[in-house]
Amino acid sequence: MKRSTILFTVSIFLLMLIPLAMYLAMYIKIKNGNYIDMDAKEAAGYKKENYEGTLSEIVLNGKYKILQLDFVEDTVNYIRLDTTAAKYISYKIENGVLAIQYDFNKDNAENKLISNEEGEYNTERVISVHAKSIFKKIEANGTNISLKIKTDEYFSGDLDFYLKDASWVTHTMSDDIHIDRSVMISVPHKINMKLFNTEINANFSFVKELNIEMRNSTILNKEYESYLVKDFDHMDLTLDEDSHYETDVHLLKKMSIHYIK
Amino acid sequence: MLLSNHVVENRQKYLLYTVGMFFLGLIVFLLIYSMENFHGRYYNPDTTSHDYVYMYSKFTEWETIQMVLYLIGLFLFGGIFASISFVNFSNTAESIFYMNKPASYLEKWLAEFLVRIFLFFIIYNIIFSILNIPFTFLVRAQEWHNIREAPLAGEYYYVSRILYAYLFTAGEHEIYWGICSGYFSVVGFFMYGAAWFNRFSFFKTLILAFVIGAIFAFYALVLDNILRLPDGWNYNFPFSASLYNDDGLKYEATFSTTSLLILLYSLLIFVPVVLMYCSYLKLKEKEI
Repeated sequence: MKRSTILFTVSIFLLMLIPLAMYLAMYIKIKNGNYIDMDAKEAAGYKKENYEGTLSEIVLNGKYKILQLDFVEDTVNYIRLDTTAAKYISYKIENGVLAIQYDFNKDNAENKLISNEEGEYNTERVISVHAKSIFKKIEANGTNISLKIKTDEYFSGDLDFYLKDASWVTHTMSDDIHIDRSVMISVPHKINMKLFNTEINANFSFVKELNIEMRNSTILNKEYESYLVKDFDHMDLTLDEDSHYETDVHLLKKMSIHYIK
Repeated sequence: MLLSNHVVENRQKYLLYTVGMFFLGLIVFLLIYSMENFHGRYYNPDTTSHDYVYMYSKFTEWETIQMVLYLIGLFLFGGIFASISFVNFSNTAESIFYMNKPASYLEKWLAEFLVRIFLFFIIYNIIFSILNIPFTFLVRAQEWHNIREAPLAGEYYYVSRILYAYLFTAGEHEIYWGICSGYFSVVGFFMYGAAWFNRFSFFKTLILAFVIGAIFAFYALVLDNILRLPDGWNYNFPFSASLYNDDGLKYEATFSTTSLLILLYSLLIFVPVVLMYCSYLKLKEKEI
């Protein structure tokens, strides 16, 4: 047989070996117990009734440094935990450094987590998330966290922030999607915010009700474009003497301010 | 020297091929233009869907067509062009003349390789642009007309961009490397076929590809049916495996992204290189 024919045949044979090798690798992986126990998420407070469509909460219990999620379709099909760098993000680090809650959508290719490979955040703690998804709850708790979040989807429920010692936090709607009236029905109905030693820059337009409690914190509040006619119904602000709130929202119907010691 | 000699010798063949490619392309462009009514990208305020993919398409219809046509043309014409590599081996006199040329096999193969890969690529892009640019203007005119006829509430539309889809976005995506590798593989495979088969090499190479594809399909089917992971695990080839119980999904094992990427990139390099090398060996072993 000629050399070219041998090479060609051997190459095809090699290509055919690849799936077999991958199968073998998977076999060994499973036999060695190198897989994820999905019960861990239930022990961490995962509620089954929220499985369809909405992810309730994922807790990283110290066993896994980074929780990597991959969703197919609109519901949560499976959850992948990995100890290498995460591409998809929804996680909570032990001792409550950060918790982000998502309702993931189909295409999450843009979701990125900036961290070091170990999944433990250094003093910079810059976390940038671009999610084609919906946030229900954002918690940042730790020293000098910088959190930047951008969403492409909108929802009409409540959005809860709990921020402590966060240096700045932004939560912006996507700028590559044109925002118009149809979007307004699907923005947060109510935002609850608790801030401690935190400086944030946030947009609150469309929100009907806003409750903020601030201690030694600063908020710079910027309005959206003028074509967004939806106004604030009610804003309830509680702040101490070390806090600073700056706003140019002018369509507010009612605003309550409480100073606390 | 050999390269210019090669081009001069085959200029008639290449010219004929280029003209054929142009007119075939023209017919395809004309057909598509006459069958489609282009609207550009626009926002549809009536939709209740929250799927923004449909509300705002990333590309216009024409840009998508540009991209698809470009790739189909590249692979199809690239394959045909590669299948006329070397010489007409069915003609003994031509073959003897070609074999006896005072150049090594490597040089001969290299001349063919450069013509198939680079010269063809340049010619193809020129022809595609010659066809694409005027048609894009025609499509744009139609898009503007349609937008004016039916003003859109979203005020968020644009008309198709010239060359955009197939030229400027290519380098931004990982798929670019896949396309490069695919192009080299197709050319390499058809060059291999051209060196192997003396007559009707294009069709014979196509049949060979079909046979190999069928072998792979059959093999995959057999693997899928006979291989079982332990304890009821289900392999979602190639990325993950999962174990279901009565309450739903409970366990999952995955390959790391890094190892899969290494495998993918190895294949992207391995396949075209092997095919090219096979075509070289085949030429070297050629007997008249």
